[in-house]
Amino acid sequence: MNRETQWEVVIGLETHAQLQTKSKIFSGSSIAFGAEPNMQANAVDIALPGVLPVLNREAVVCAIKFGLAVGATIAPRSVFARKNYFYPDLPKGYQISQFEIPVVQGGGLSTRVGTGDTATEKFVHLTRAHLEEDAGKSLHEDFHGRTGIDLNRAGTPLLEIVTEPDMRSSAEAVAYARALHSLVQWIGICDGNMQEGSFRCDANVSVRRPGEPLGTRREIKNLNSFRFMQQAIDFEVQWQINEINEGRPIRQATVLFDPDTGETRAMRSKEDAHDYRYFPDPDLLPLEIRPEWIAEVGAGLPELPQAMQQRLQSEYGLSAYDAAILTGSRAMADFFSVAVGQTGAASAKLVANWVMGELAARLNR
Amino acid sequence: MSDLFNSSLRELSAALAAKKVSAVELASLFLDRIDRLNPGLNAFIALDRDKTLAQARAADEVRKIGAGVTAISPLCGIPLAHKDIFCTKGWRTSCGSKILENFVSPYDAHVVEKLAAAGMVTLGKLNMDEFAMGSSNETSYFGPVQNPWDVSRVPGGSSGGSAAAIAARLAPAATGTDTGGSIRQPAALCGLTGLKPTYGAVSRYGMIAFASSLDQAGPMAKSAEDCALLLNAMAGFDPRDSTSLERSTEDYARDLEQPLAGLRIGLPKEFFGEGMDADVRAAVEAALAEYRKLGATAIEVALPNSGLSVPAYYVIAPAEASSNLSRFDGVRYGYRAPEYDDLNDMYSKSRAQGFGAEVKRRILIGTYVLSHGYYDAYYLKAQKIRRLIAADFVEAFKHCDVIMGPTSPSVAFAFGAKSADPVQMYLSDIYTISTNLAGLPGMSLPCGFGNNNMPVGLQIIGNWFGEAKMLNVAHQYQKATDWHLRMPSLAGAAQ
Amino acid sequence: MSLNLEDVARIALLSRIELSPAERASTRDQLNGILGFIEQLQAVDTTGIEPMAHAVDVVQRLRPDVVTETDRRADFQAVAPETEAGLYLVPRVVE
Repeated sequence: MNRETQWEVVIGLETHAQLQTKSKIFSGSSIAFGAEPNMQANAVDIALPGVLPVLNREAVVCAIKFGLAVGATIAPRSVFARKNYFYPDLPKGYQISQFEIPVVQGGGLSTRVGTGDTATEKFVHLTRAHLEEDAGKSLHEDFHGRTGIDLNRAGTPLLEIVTEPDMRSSAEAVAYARALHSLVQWIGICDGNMQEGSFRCDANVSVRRPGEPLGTRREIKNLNSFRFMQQAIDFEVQWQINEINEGRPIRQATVLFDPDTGETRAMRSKEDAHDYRYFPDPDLLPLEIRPEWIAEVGAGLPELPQAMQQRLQSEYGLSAYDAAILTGSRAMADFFSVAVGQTGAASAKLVANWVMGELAARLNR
Repeated sequence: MSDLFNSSLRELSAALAAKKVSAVELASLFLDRIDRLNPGLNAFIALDRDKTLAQARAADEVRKIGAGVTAISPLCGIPLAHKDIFCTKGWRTSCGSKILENFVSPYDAHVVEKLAAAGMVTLGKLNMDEFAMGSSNETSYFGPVQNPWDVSRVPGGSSGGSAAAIAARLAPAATGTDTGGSIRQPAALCGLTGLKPTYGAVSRYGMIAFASSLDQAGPMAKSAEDCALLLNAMAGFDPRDSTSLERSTEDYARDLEQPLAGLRIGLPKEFFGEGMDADVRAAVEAALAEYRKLGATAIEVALPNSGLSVPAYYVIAPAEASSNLSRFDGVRYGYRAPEYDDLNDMYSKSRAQGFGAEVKRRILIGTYVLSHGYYDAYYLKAQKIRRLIAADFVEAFKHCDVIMGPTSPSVAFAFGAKSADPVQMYLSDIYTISTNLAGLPGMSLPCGFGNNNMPVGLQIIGNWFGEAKMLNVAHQYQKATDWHLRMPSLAGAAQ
Repeated sequence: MSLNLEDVARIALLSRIELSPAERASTRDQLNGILGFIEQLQAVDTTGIEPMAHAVDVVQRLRPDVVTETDRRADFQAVAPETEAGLYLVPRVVE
């Protein structure tokens, strides 16, 4: 009997999506990528004594769009909290985030796992999505054995999207991450650029024997490609199974994936016992979102991929699979819509095949 | 000219408008007094004669060129000094701490900006308890400030430098901040008038945070009228502070001359129980008698939870402070320990060497009450009690227009009298803290002298946004009495 | 609630404030004095009372999404303990 079949894998994902605003979440600095170090870090971003945060309206609009797109509850009143810890890329010594009352609560995302006719539908429930600020960057290159700190990224608006531990394989995790990646671009809240770190995933992975309570999880940090996500989770799962089989209990840890070795390893800097001492940020008042505002933002949302898939099937007789592929990205969906508008509904299947086959292949080249 | 050092802001304004004195002459007058008297008082911890005189020359220009062209603020050309908690561009801004000993601020606080825009001339930066944590000015890294009424005694804190400077007539006015009584208590102990506005009335931008939900800046001066003029220039909406309130501009001096007939004064029985020294009680009672003569009636009110204000404060304020002071880590500015092993050692040594004992104590307490397993029992509990304390005031103000009582339970005490026992020191703010928790405005004005001829302060607490009423009530008293005109002999002898 | 020396060491580590062994004992005594004073809050019945985090009952104001800042790196880094090539330098961080 295959040892692995005795194990159930449990995965939850936390995704940091950088929001497509012009300025930072709590200051008027630009968030454009690639500026000279610390030239886009103003008094608020570098936490000079006496400075104060003021919330960017557009970041809230992004959160509302996302909440609507995943069928979540948008909290009428949510609260910003301070997460306290010392790190050189965290200028205030705390990160402004949301803790007890996040802006987006619940909701979920339908994903397709696998390809072709064997693909299956998987619904991943979301726990929450909350607004927070990004930290700066630590550069470990040669500064005479010292670390350089660039705070340009500090204060960049993020939406942290947290799933329930619903996924049972690396394939499901990647399918969810791809669907989420497509959705945030579809609704125009994130550019999805994973190389630049605009869309980063952390995977909480544990294993258990079916029917048993959840095992101890380890969190794989900063997965910035789908391929690495798959590799990292697969390695981590096997590692945890081996450890348990060797009689060593899993200890909660934060780990990094090394693409060169294909292995995960525990982060040394996170060894301290953490106690983030969350409390409501006294510099920020409760965020109120009225139903009228939600309605206004909703009216500006494009047709969502799920709805479009249904429409492509009913309007053009496309298969569920084709509809899913065509709505895999906003660009492809838009292209199809324009093309089929030109050729007429009768040739929809032909256009779909061409877009998915010829065009996609050429674009991939 | 010779008596201008003791003039009111209105008198100084009139003298400037009438060209009897220039802003440069006024600034020089005070700078000279500072040179003579500050070494014995330690009120000023940063001076820059060139900067001050340049600002004064600019004010003189505005008065000359602007006359008849633009509206000139009545404060244009009048000197004042800033508590060193306010970031002041180009000035060393230390917050009374070694950790910021070499911090020259690259920007101006909103309050500094507004007063400069009105044409006020900065004389220098004033000593204070380190990070505003103290009630005696003994926690300053730059040494204690002496009380000009008796240099063996404390001036109060944390705005002790502000109070001593005005009492000694080294500045006609100063800025202060009040988190638990830090404007009102030193004003009382130094025989001055000081006002803490309603939370949100004055922007906190650029004011180094101690406890963000309690901190509020306000004016300190010789009289209520002076405070009203200063508050007019300090208050107002600032989009950079999320807690700054969007309200229409008001003239805080508008009601100064209203008669007090029919005024209902609430006297909380909790403020008149044990714990208040007899000399303070006598002066406060005499002030209340004076108010009755002015047509006011006194009503007993209840603030049943006010006894919990000091313990609730010593959970909430340290909790916020522990987080607010995390930015002082030796990375981007401020003190960095000369020797360390690694990053955490650098943090721990820089902060251990850079902060004084009281600041460290409060950071540790604050860290503890927020930490895992204790948050509900301490922090959340204190926040609930804070609501009870605020609700008491809502109820009390249904029956009265202002609340009165002592500002401080005793007159200024001797150096070292309370510094060994933190809790004893904390209890110096027993009558002032509840207003910060509730967000209410409060002020202190001189109402007589107690033991050893030390000044006693009367506290007035107003309803939310009741500054103009409070100032009216204080001004009418000051028209009928002359306590606020008394000056320590040290100040007069310096002429 | 009373703190022991390990509690003090843990809090000091979280606060990043170095305490010598001698300071640890005196700090413990001082903190316990303050905590003893605070302890009276526990006797109050606060059932059903909403915690009050802010002094004013208003909601968060929102800022328009506009870039208002220009580079002031040189000014800001003039007061920094250690910089190079526009970066703040710290002892090497190991991840």
